Amino acid sequence: MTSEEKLAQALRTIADRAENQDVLPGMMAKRRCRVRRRVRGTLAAVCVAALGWGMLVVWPAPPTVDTAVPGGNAVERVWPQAVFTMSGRSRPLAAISATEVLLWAERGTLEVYDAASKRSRTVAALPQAPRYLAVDRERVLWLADGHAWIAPLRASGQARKVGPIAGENVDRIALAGQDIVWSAPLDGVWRMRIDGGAPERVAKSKGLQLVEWPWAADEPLEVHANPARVVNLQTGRTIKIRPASGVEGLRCGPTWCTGKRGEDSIVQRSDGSWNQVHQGLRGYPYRDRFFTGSGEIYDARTETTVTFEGAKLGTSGGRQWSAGSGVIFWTQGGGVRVVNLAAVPQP
Amino acid sequence: MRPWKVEFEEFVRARSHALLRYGLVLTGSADDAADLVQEALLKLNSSWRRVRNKDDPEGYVRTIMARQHVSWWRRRRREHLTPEVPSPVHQDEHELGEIWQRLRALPARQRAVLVLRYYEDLADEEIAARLGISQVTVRSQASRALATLRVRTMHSRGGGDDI
Repeated sequence: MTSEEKLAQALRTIADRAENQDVLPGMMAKRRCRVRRRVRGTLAAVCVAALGWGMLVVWPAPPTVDTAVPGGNAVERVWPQAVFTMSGRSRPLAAISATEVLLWAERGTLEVYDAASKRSRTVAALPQAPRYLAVDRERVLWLADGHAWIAPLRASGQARKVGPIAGENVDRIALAGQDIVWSAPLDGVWRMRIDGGAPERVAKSKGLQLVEWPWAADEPLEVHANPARVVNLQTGRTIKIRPASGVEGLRCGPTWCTGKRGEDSIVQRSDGSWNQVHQGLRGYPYRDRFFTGSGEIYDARTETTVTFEGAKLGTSGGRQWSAGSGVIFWTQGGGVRVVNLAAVPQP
Repeated sequence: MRPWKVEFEEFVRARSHALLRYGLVLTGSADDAADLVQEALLKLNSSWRRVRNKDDPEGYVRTIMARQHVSWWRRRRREHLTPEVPSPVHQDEHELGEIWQRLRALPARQRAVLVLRYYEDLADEEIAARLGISQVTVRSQASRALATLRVRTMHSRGGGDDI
């Protein structure tokens, strides 16, 4: 016999292992199929086949990269030093260095995993994986219980509570030397010394949201609206965003943005001087360079697209994968396959 | 851009992982979970302007998912589709593996009742409303499912070791 508590725990454990994926493309593909079926009386089988190709590029105007067709650009071939497999009982949270990632182990610990030695060391034991965190090479910072917590990654030492961090909607944090910085939508960027003290708004950050310290943008709440500027909060340098024609929902680092034009995903330069269709890519770039989408990673700096074909296909035809800060991962062969973008060399 | 479409996409992006989690325990398969979530969202999309004004669009989606899952299971059973799916349980997790295997083997409605009771933490009255069945049926389905799983309930203090 088992108990109801064990049954409930088993269900929660299994649910925790569900990987996130973008369900909108699959939903849209289903809808397109049904419309076609109604119009043409097409066989259902045709739609099933078409779902697998739902991500193909169809926008004819700008230069187009067909990112859905598997090719010789598998990540293992292009960036072999960036790919490794680790235990299926862990998931990576953030890239630390070319060989190290921060991971969450199912036993309830934050750990640093070194892909070169295949060893990990515990940083902190927590009741649950942190939702918002940031790392540099020496420290990890996360939010919990209305406070920031900071722990050393290399030297031994306890996690230390800093704060409280005011505001219910804080969703971006970063380490900035001897400061921690954070932001909430439309509320500007705030800072506090890592040893505590009073929070203060970072100069000229009113209305901005952190992108990647020291950069922040006037990210609108409305997901289809475009920001107007990206600001370096250390130097004050401001870059005006110029959306390419018809592009909306831009999310920009200092050099690169992604947005939508109709159903196409667009990568463009922040100054609007260049744009290209890259289906499935969304969100902010990592290190103002890498975008991740449906089964591919695009390095805007070198114009390189790599695919991760080991990730299994979902019913919509898209790859099933998850991402942290600078890490992309999926389950493969009982383990977790990881791409560490910090291991991709500078061009 | 129509505001309702924006709202809908925001809702999907914010809640899709939670729905995929629910879908996985409901269906037992990540692929079926994604399929179920997409299907339910498609229905939500067509009625979003009506549903968004209610308090709980997510409850609406979860209701669609539970009912759709039972409906699909009936159809697929007739088609004798028994695909092998990757297990979310690791090889050395014997107890979890056994519970999961038995859960997956349950008829869809029995499994849905258990998921709603022990994962969603709903009362029998709420489960009945979500599945469109009576409370008596909820209790009988739960009882059968628990017996199949050999689960000791809080009400019966009978002996026996854990699985």
